[in-house]
Amino acid sequence: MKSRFVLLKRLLEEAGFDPERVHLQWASAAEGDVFAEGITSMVERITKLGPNPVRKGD
Amino acid sequence: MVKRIALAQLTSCWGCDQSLLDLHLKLLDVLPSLDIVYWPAVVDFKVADLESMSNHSIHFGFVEGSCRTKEDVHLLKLMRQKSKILVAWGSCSVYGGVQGLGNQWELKDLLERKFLKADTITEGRIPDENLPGFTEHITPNPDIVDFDAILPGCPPTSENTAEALTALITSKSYDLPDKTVCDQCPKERKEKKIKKFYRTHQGHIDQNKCLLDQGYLCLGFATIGLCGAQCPTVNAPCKGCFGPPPSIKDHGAKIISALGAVADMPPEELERAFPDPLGSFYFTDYASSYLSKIRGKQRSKKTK
Amino acid sequence: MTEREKTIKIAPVTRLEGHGELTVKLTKTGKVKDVQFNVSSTRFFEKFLEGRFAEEAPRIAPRICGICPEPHHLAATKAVEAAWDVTPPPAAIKLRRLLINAKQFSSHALHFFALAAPDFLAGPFGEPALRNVVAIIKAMPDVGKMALEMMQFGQDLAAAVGGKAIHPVTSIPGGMLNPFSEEKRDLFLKRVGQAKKQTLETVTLAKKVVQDYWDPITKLAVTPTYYIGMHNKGNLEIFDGNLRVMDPKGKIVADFKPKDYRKYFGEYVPEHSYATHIYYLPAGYPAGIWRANTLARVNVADRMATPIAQEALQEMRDALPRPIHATFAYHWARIIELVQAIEEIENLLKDSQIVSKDTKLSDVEPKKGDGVGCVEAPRGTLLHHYWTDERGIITKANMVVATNNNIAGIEKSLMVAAKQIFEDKAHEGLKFPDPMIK
Ligand code: SF4
Ligand code: SF4
Ligand code: SF4
Repeated sequence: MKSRFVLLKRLLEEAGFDPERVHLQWASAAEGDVFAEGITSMVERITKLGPNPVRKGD
Repeated sequence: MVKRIALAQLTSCWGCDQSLLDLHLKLLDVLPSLDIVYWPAVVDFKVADLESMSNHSIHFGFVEGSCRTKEDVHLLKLMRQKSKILVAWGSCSVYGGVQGLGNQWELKDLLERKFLKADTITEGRIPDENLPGFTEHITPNPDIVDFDAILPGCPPTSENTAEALTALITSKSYDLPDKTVCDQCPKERKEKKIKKFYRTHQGHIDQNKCLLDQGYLCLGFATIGLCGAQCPTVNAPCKGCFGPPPSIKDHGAKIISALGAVADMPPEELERAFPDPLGSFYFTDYASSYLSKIRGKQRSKKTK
Repeated sequence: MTEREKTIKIAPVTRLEGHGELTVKLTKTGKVKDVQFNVSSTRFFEKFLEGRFAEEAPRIAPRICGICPEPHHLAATKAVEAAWDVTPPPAAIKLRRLLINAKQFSSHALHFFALAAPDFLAGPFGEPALRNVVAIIKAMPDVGKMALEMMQFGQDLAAAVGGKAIHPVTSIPGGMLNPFSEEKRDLFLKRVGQAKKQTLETVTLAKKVVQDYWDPITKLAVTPTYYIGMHNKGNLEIFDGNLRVMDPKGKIVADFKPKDYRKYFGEYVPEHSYATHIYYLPAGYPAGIWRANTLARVNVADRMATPIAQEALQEMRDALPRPIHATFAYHWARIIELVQAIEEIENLLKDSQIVSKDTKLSDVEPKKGDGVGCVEAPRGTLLHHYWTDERGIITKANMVVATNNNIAGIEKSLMVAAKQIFEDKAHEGLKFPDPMIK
């Protein structure tokens, strides 16, 4: 399920999140919605993690 | 009984209006049961007229467009206040629309590109006299006020709007179907195993076969079936402009999940095929995606 | 600013596509100090096109305007083809011409009947509730029905060629995704005769309006400006040609390929409008303010491209010498273009190549470069300029849309009209006919 992970990583990058913080585990969910919930909880988690995960406007 | 209707445009392209006008002669069937109290595209009433109406005095309020300016937010709230039944009309209204793709940047980047750095501009400035000012990012209308019905589409077809209107006029409820564009598509489908993705300008398209089977990114499988599969019917891949069916919460997540399942290729190749997943998977509904909303929250925190 | 100055605000300006408000500022002695056309929103397409596949631009850009998406669809395609050095097959070009003329036809019909005619048929002082197309349909059912049928003909044809009329999808770098079937061609060949007949009836109706309103047409809001429009060897053209600029005296001061637009187009950012003002760069701002749209095209072109339209143009030029600065003559010019559109449509439908299956190349390759795509939208010159990288992804976009070519000119003519009305009370001395709808 690495395929989903690579697309997700690109998506997060484009949306302005640091893909380094993404973990493979959420990308393995089969269903779209479970997957989507996965993204939310994941992003919520990573945004709590670091001091400023938001990319500075370049 | 003649029903009072108001049609208001927030920031939009007016395509939803044009789509309603495109009922043409069929308009004559609907018009007699309607009293148009506000519709700036066609009728000479002003915002002040709308402001002076009493609350809930409009039977049906249709809102096209999304909130790119502070004036849009005012008009949206006004429409909510004055309307009994408020309808989010078109993908801009339901999801934020194509302009939601702008949420990928900060407002200052958008302003800079348009007013300071355009090729033909010699002396840039950001206009602000007698103007409403922009919102920091596009927030989908349903996250700002409550709606009683939604009708997505960019634009909804004339028939979609007529159907919704007729249901409202006859006091029936209007619910969205839980089917997809694929369910409406005439093309012949096979078990999907995609070895290579093509871009729309590439190669030769077989007119009888499913576009996705041929390796073109057709989003019919993740998109609500309301339009009659207009694009695939003419060999243009569905870009998902009507958004997902009600059971799918996040359009892009669903698409990524499905592509992961049907793409028969190394992950690196898949990554190379979609360098712009955000633009490719959220054509008119990026503003309503989880990612955009989380990003929006962060921005608001920062500006507070 | 003193308190005794007066500001009149019209919000929104109705029967206009796009979001506009009008601000008229009067001094304490009642002189017109300023007229502002405040375009109060914009969506930043220039920015969010960045990073997208260039071949998707023809799908994204039409959303700039739902009333005239076809010109955007085609300008975007042409810009990418120019950047990638691609020449589509001849049949594809004919289909695109059919598409843009179908739009020209429905848009001009819509504009004449739904946006402009209410003023003329109900009279400019008519009740707001009567001054709209719905009221016309009720009061003059024959005219209303004809108007709706004409709009429908154009929209149906656009949908048949473009896949859908609002935000068409078939044009792609390298050609058209869907050939035009013989069945469809035959269907429209059957309908085109009726549409042409109705067009000629519209010409008659328009002539009557012109006669009735001769006084205000020739006296109100007569505004000398520059004009910009496309032509093909002097013929009025909307799909592919050179651009011409005419000065207020009627002299052609520039004639150039759209790709060289940056030498001639200046973009002024006003303080009071999100839509910028495009002007003739060599003359500077505000001296170089130009207008686009129907009257501008008719002014810059030597002649129409089709015979009946040419007769109509000649009649206009006999009555009003070129260049015509009378703002209300825009409606007249629109009808002349309506005639050209239906004649072009008829010719294209009769061309056997229109049903060719050879409409798309299969070996289009992206490359790094930039390209300009220019067409005439119903409301004026429209230009897209894209830069792409070697993968064919857009790195930068610049767009000059029809509205921006007109806004400064609209302001200028509104200033003239406002002075006439508020200072000279000119409308009181003008002859207006009895409204047809009361
Ligand atoms: S939903 Fe689409 S057609 Fe409707 S206003 Fe928005 S961009 Fe235009
Ligand atoms: S062409 Fe598109 S809409 Fe049609 S079946 Fe295939 S994926 Fe679905
Ligand atoms: S096929 Fe897809 S892109 Fe085309 S109109 Fe329908 S939902 Fe929109």
